[in-house]
Amino acid sequence: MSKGILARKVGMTQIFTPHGTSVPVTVLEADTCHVVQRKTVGSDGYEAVQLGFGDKAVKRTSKPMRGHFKRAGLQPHSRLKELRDAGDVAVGTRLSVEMFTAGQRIDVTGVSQGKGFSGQHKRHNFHRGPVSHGSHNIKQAGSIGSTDAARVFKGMKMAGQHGATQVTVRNLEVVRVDTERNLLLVHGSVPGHKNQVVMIRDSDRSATIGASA
Amino acid sequence: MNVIDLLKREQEKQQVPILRSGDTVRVHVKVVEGTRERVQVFEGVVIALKGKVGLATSFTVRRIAHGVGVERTFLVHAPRIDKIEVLRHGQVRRAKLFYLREKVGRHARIRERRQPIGGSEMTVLRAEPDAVHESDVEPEELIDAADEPELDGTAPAEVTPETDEPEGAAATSESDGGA
Repeated sequence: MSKGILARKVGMTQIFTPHGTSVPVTVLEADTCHVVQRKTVGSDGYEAVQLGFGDKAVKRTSKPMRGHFKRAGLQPHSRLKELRDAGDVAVGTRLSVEMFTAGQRIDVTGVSQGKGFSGQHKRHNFHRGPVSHGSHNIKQAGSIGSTDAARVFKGMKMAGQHGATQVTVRNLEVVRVDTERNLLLVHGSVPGHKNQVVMIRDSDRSATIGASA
Repeated sequence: MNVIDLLKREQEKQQVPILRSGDTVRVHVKVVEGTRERVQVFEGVVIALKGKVGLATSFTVRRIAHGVGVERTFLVHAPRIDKIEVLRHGQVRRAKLFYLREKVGRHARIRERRQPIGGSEMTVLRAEPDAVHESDVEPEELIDAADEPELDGTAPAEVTPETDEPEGAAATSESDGGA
């Protein structure tokens, strides 16, 4: 069973710990996170809960979705995300950051900041070419393969869309839980820009890197 | 006011001295030794101020200890700093006094400024004292520190980098030539 909540990335700052050290933290706010739907093996073939986050005007919500929220007894939410194997949680429950404790490890999933169509240097950390001695390949990628292959292999690292993809940062430490303001202070950075909605889950440290990709 | 500003504000001290490069200061640092806490004093010349005014402000103090130059960087608002006393205002023409690292003895002197900038008042009160924040944050932090001494009991007294994680090692030692 896993715990999870949707939250908004407020921004970053720094916090003094009781030991006197200053740590960089990301502030995450989870003020309006509700359980909108429960999916069970019987009804959907798998166990999950659907979480809703953020407000949405009723008149901007489609009629089928209005019915969906009405069934849960909730106002429409702007974001819906599923959390697998969340256990037995009643529909309509308001989730709060209280489910987490300071010091525990979490995984945070969100959409990373978009960098647009980027070159190889930014996207794949290529080196640039020489800038002087009449060099004209400062920004070029270099070789993209051998001659005997007579083609370019699939998956060759080239320029293209960079960022704005789903990213999970694992094993982040919860520095502080502010139940009064529904804030979670997490050590280090978290994917996405400010106001990005991210999913926070209990860290599954046994998960191998790349398992979620 | 947004949440980030509130969080910052809660941690800021009500009263911090106006520091300038060249000032001679005495920094009272709380050090945990085994199970008890005591105050250690570090006296020297402020050679650099860093960071925006607010929570992240830090300053570097340099002194010559037993013929060796020692620099420590502190965060102005660190809870481990008990008190900062300004002993003397220096008259300098640089914001960063890194040149002092190459100077020894007579050449490392700094003229005293007769007229402190910003009036004779040495400490600055933050805008309006905010009663709420003072009561809910400061004491709690201090109690926490006193409650868990076993955890940092291993830390040696002289080179504890307690207040300055961003800078890495607290004390930068260097030998000062002929001294």
